[in-house]
Amino acid sequence: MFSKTLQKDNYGYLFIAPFFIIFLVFGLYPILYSFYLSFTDWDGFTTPASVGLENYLRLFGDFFFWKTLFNTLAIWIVSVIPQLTVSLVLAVVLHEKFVKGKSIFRAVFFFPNIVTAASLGLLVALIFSWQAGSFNQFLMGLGIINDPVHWTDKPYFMRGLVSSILFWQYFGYSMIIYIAGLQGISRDLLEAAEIDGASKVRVFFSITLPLLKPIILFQVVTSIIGGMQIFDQPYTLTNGSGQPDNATLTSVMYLYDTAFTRYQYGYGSAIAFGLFIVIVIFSILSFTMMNMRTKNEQN
Amino acid sequence: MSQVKTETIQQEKKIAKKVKPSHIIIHILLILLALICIVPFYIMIVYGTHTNADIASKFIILPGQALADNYQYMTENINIWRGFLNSFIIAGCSTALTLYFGALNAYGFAKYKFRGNKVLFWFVLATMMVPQQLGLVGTFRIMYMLNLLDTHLALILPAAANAFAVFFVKQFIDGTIPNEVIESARVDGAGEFKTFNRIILPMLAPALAALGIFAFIGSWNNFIGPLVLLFSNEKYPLPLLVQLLQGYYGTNYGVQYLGVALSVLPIIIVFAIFSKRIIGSVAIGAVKG
Amino acid sequence: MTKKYALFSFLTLLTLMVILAGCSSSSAEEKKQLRIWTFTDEANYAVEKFQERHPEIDVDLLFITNDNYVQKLISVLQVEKNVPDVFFVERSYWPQIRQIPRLENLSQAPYNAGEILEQQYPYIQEEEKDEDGVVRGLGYQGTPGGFFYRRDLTQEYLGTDDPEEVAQHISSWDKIMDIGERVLEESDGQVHALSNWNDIGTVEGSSIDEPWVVDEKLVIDPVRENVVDLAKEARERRVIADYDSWGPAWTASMQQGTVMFYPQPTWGLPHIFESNAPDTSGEWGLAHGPKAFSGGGTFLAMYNGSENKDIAWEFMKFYTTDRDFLKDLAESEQYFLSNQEINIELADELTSDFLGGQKYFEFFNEAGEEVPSAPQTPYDNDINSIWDEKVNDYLNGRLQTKEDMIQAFKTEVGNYFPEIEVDE
Repeated sequence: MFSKTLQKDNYGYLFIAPFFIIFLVFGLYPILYSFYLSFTDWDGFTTPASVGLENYLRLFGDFFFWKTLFNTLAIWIVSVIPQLTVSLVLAVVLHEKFVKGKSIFRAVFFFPNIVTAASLGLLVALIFSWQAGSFNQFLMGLGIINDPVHWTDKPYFMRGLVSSILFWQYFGYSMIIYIAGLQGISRDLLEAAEIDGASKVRVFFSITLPLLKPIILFQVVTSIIGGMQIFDQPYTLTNGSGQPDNATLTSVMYLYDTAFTRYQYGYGSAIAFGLFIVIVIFSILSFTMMNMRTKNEQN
Repeated sequence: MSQVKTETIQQEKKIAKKVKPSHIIIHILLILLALICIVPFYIMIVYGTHTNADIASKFIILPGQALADNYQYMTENINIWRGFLNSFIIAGCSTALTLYFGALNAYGFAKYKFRGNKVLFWFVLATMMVPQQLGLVGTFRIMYMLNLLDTHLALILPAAANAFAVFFVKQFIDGTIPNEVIESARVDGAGEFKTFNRIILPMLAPALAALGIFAFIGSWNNFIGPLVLLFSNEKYPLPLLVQLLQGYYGTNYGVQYLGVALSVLPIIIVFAIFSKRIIGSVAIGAVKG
Repeated sequence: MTKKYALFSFLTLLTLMVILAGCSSSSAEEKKQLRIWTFTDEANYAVEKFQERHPEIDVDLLFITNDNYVQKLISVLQVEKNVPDVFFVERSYWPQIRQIPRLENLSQAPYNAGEILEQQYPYIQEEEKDEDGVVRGLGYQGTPGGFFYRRDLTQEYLGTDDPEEVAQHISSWDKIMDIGERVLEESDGQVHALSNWNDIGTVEGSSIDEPWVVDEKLVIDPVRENVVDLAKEARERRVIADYDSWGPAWTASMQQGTVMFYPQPTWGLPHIFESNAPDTSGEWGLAHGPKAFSGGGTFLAMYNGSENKDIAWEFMKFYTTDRDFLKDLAESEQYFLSNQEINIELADELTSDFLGGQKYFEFFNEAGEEVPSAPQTPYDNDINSIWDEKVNDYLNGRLQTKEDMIQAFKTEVGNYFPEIEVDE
């Protein structure tokens, strides 16, 4: 009997084997190979030549690597803070009984999330283009400006625009997740508090918010990993250039340009690992912050 | 008398509810936000029906008459329907692989207590933290070695190893599929794989449906993967064709708007029909996660 | 069960038959197939004519837009999969491509391309060779330039539309700037002399003596620095209109007549002016500017691993030396050739209605003689785009001084290409 179950249990290896084979070939091998390449100089035509730590030394002193990291972080923070707050407010509002047309609002707010990011990037690029963009035409039609504003030449504006696209795409998504979390909080509890005379704002801050904390932290952590990999939106918004003044050049765009348009595969791989280390650091930071907070509260 | 009184009170209450200014303001704000969400899509559709000269000269509100011309012009270089087909092939096959192998793997971890089960499962979870771009250069290399560059398979095969799918389905199996089901199948003499394919898989349908929506949208919208791995225009999925619009029609905004609109409209239609399901699956995914 | 089996075998048989039929039909034709990649739709005309001449060859032409073209080309050359037999390369990428060890050596037999080069303009001959002097590609296009101008505008503001006289008015940048200032004032800010600063860069760029990189060292030729000063002056005196090159406002200005001069090479006539301002036919003229220059150009190269080198060469030869075809091309497509001999033959006959009947082949032949050969490096395309960005930043005021601009430029080049020595 014992040997029989053991035999059956070993079937498990067969069940997980296909996944692991595919993962080794298409997941792990590429990462290890990139790691190997990050110690070489390779243009794709010759054989990779070993250069030791040179790529990493270059990376450390590469002004542009740090600049793209800054850009990525700036874009992420400017989009994620309003994303997580506005969506929370919306979730609470749409959870209220008096609001009409809840499901329509939910659908409309969520919709941009499933639209192809590349399409959104190009669409926004067209709308904000300089001399034929509809946004400028709109402002000129209203008489707010006389000459078209060269939006695409303003670094802060364009970086903000990337953040806006990300916000537009993700606030509805966050809202849906908050609503799912809110549905886990008993209505009776909230209504009891209101009957006791607590204002809605008070109820929100002293009951709803603490109960939603795990969901908020979950969203922060997952958005770090995604946020550090921003590529599609700035790429199509600027037609791949990351301009003006390299302000919309994200780290992954820099990685892509280095490896696949300047054909410095070795250095491109080093950028990938540099970025990975940054993501790991940020993830650890947010995890420890999460733990510290919960510990403090327990105390 | 008292009845009349309560009625009037109720009426007063109703009236009070209707005119409560904060509620009106909230509704107005919601509608405004919804408009901001919708306006770009409206612009996209309307501008796609105008000539370049119109677009460059004024702000447009109503549809124009250049739709056929723009479409004609676009089809000279870009076969958007071919892009749809490619996207369908890639996203459809990827989703099928993700679901089947994700479920198979999850079942293996959930129901067989082999040695190393826990360690390997943690390993799968850990891979979720690794960004896809880390292996970008290496992926290019291995696809070359396997002679898969410039093929749809290069984008489809890796989908069989989706860690999130494993995690998601395992949660579901742990919660809903009792060991007795498997035991009774074994008593009936069914083999292990037959049990999985015939009995377990159908039971996983609700989880797979939700997961399938995620996987399909993710694959449909993938941009950097095909950008690196595909070379031929005729193999391009939609997102890359959208990017090509900038190259072929850099100065023709009407055509670019139309191309973007054609790439987005089907998503609008599908969403209009299935929005409840799609939103539902997002909520499930989040709560499970 | 048996029914199912019968149906299954029937379907299998049917599939087999279809496959067999497909195979036999394709093997019956057995045409030689030539695979060509291009970034320009003008290749269609040549391929059509080539197939008329060689019905035994089947040409598979793939048109990929410029933005992605080079990247894809280099990718397939790296992995040597799906490589086309012949590929078109635009001049800005050519110095990079011609160094790739996958290009056929055309100097050697049986090609002996040196003989073809003798018929071409000196500046093109230089570009066709790699750093070791081996011919790696054939240019089919002659690209000397001139100042295209609106005759109605020069008539109004300069009192003449005669090319010789207009050339007198614009023989130096100083004169052009003076005209620009005056015209802007007289037209109430409507008309500018030039469309953007790249116009100055295009003209001056042909006159550089030193390429960006010499002996692994970054060099900024004084001519390039001078362009920055000229552009700044032009910007400050509002001589240039600042329309994005190839942007919608730029193309619209040709039709509207808000810019007087557009310095452009030969191919600008069909590809820029006729296509963007078709309603203004006859209102244009062509005059020599301050300096002779060339712009763009296209080269044909052959993959050295190709299995169809014979027909690939046949096509390349056809596109650069076939007298009948080239005359056709020049006449019907207004195409100025790299082949000087044929251009000279045609110079007397060819006039352009769009240019008010001007003998434009004669004009470009004169210009072509004068074009200096600007040295190139494989880095040119990357470094040029960094330079242009920095100049833009300087003109727009984001970089305050020219020194800041040059410093920013050097930093960026040094960062992207650590193998290039950059003095700080």
